[in-house]
Amino acid sequence: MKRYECMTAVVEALADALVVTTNGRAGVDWLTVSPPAYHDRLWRMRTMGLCSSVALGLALTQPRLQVVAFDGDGSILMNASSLATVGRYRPPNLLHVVFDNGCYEASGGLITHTGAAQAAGRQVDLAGMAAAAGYPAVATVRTVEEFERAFTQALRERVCTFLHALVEVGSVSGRAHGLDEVENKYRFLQAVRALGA
Amino acid sequence: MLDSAPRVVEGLVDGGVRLVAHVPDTNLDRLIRLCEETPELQCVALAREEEGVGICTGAYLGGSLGALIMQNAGFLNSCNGLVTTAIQHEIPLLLLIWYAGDLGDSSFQRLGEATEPVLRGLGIRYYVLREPDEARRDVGRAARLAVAAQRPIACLLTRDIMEDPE
Repeated sequence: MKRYECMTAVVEALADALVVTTNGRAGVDWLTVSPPAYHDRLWRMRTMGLCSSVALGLALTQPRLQVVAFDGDGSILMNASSLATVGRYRPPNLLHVVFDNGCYEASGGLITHTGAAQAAGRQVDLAGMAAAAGYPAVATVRTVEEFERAFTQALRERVCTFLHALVEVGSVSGRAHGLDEVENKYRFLQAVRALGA
Repeated sequence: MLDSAPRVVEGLVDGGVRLVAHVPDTNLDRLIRLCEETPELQCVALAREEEGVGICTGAYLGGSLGALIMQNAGFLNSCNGLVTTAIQHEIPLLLLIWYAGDLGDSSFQRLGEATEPVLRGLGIRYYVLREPDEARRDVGRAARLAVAAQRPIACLLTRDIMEDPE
């Protein structure tokens, strides 16, 4: 399965959610598979690693809104301490998805630690790390069906969840047509206000 | 004993700060404890300072102005987040930085030497707080300046205004 196939499967579930995407292609994928009405509620990171932390800050200050982080393996490993910070505060409205493609896809494809482990027949158990750090719910999924099921369960049960999705390399074809960083900020702020939270 | 920590907390509240992310230092311990006891402030303890740039950014997007309390070593830990998230997206953010290696501190001279040049290099305006009687006013003003400027603004907290554990 590919990252954008997982995203496509859960578009309808996120009609009122705030979405944070890590740097690289995740934001382009979400812009491509989601309708334009969603795009003001997308926050696209430029800083590798901080996706999980921005999502945590949003979830803690907007407890009535669902917050979804679309993170990556390279990114979460760069900010691994944030796992324990999320695990301490565990906001029930935070769903932290890590798409694990085993490589730094956006910068040319060199393998990450998760990819190196897979190549050696081992595993870096990101979901295990999250569980050990205090996330009340974690899951690892390998198919789009499993992804959709675990994703919608986290939203339905409203529990702080870490969803480790093992994906193949590959993104939608197309270009980033998103907003610049400052316009992203003002539109996102307006979108949060419009949701009346 | 001199203790400006309550005045700094009052300045945070005056300035509209609603979320405080923090990493301790000996000289920040009391300030952080007071923040945790202040109902107007939602507090988040961090494991590493750069997380705080992300959390304060998320908080601002969620409608709450954030402040990040840390030592200057932690400020150096947060530089990429400050540049490529806070500055690049024009996020208001108050940095309260314990100034290790400043006058009266013989332990962290190299850190002290690096602090102000790095702040200048990043283009972050900063104010060195030395007057206890002005701590509340200055912190409040710095927070409001961050909002007006839509940028991070730093206050360097010195031994002159914070409790000396020795």
